[in-house]
Amino acid sequence: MNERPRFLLSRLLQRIDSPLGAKRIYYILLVVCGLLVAVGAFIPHHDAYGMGATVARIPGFYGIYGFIMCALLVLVAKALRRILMRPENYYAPHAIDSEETRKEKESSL
Amino acid sequence: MSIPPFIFYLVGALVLPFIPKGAMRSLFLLLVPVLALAQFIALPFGEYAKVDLFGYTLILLRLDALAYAFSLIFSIAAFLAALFAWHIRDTIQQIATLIYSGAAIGAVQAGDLITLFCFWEATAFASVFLVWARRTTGAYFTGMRYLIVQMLSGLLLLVGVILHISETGSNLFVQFPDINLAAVLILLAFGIKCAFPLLHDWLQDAYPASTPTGTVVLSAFTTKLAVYALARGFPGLEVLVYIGALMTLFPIFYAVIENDLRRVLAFSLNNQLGFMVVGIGIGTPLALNGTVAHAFCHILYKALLFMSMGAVLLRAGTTKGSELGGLYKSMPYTMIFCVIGAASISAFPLFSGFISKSLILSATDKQGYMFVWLALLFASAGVFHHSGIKIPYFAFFAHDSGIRCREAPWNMLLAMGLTALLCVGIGVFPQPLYNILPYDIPYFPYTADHVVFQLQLLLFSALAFTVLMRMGIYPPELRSVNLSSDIIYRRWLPNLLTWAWNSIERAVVSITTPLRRESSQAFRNIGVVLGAERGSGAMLVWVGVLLAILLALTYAAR
Repeated sequence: MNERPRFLLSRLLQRIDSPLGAKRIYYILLVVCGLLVAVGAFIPHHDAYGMGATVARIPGFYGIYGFIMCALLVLVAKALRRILMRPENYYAPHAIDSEETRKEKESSL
Repeated sequence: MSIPPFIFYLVGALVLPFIPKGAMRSLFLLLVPVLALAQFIALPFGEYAKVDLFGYTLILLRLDALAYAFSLIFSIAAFLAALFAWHIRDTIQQIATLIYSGAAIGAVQAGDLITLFCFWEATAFASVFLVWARRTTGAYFTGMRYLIVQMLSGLLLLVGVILHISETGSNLFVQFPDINLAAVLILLAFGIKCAFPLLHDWLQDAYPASTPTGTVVLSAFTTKLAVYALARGFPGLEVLVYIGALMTLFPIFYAVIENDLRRVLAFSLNNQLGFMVVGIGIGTPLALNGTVAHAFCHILYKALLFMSMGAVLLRAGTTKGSELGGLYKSMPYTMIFCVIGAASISAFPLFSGFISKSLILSATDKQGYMFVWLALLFASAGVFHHSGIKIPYFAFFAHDSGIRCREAPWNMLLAMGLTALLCVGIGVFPQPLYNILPYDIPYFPYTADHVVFQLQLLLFSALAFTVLMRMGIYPPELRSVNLSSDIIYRRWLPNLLTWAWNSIERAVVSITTPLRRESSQAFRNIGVVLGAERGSGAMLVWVGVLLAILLALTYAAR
């Protein structure tokens, strides 16, 4: 990994592009999520009516709901692959999916 | 002088071929939306350019708050798309873009149903050339499917409009007072263009088949024109609440397992339309404001996302998640713009999606649609999951694909930069957008609870993504296609027809073969014709057989 990208931004990002960096991001995310739940428990809620007012009383509802539903979303979608997934050339030649994508001529750019 | 703005686009399309290709023509393409915008931006609300035709009054330019907001954003989108396509030298794409954007603006400014129908068809005809512009066999067939579906929508609209006019005697395009046959047909026509569940497949089929620049144009107009038409014709129609909720949900499952990142964006486009349809169905001033605001913001961030993926397609040669990864090293600016688009569609505070989606969510909650509200919350988390994380992650990060390409050309970066600026600008200062909404009601999106709860929802969704990734459960990107309801007309119906045709042919051959063997000279001649399988002679006999059947049926019907 001694490649040196041309852009400063890329070089900065390359520093955290490692298993260790990913781990750090994960832990930072965990801490921020915990903080949000803590803060959420103490703030007043006024723009909430029916369901919104009900769930606002459950501390961390939005977080828990988001986490569970997203995990479910991925698991269900993954299961759907068994039924829905077909090879890329399933509709060929009547679809673009398995066509070679060719780069546009870049001479004019 | 009140020339309808679409005239500028039309004249522009006629003049364009005579302007030399290159910077001159690209500049001209930028100028047309600006001139057309200048034409109506300061015009007082009202009806202009009325034409009498066969006893009906056509209103070619009606400006009210609803039409104004959509005309404004369509004009901005046309300008940004032209800037993004500055380097394109393809005359067909340029003309198609001009006519398509002009027709979309004409449609939202049309005051009557006959004019609306004309522009409705024009958007379909013009836009299909953007799909064909890819110039591959697959794109040709995809374009054909797209065109047939759009024509079907036009046909339903035509029949509905004729029925409506014959019943009411009025061709004005206003809210349909009762839901009779005419209204149902018109609703279906709008529903096809708005990609209602089961009428939606054309969208995910056609948009990823267009060119890098063509998809940006496509994403802005057709579906939002349908949203406008629904908001005008059917505000408060309750069934739309449930249709919309369904629309926000099912595309997100497909988006998770889809490999082509531009098709993932087409799914999230469909999901975002669902929010707008829910707003129309609720129909309160707050909800309708939400729909218009969301359409406005959505056009910008969706264009931005399609631009970033268009730039990737141009430079890296593909947008398949399975083939991409690590592009941040080659295209860091495109990556930043993509992330801004992703944050906007995910409705992060300080980005445009937040200040528009909040209105719809608040309105849903306020009217007591508990489960719809929960569904929208789920859909919000889901759209962050696939558009907010999946798109930038698999394109620019993930495992390094080894692709090293150039950064996007300057015009693409500039177009993305401007669009990103608008996304953030609207997110930080929402008031100018709120000022042009149809209803004058104050709304404050930046309350402490709103911000904190939204961040909770989003960051825990991100947490779910990272947890599933770390556990190795997250489904990998695979080269594949996923079946949808369009299998009916892409596979089953063609197969059924082929099978039926072959069976009839076999049956006829088995009947005529003995005849041929034993018949007189006259019969033998026919037999020879039939024996020439699939030749022009056999075709002739077939036509005769079909005509005979038709004749028999006609008599039977009497």
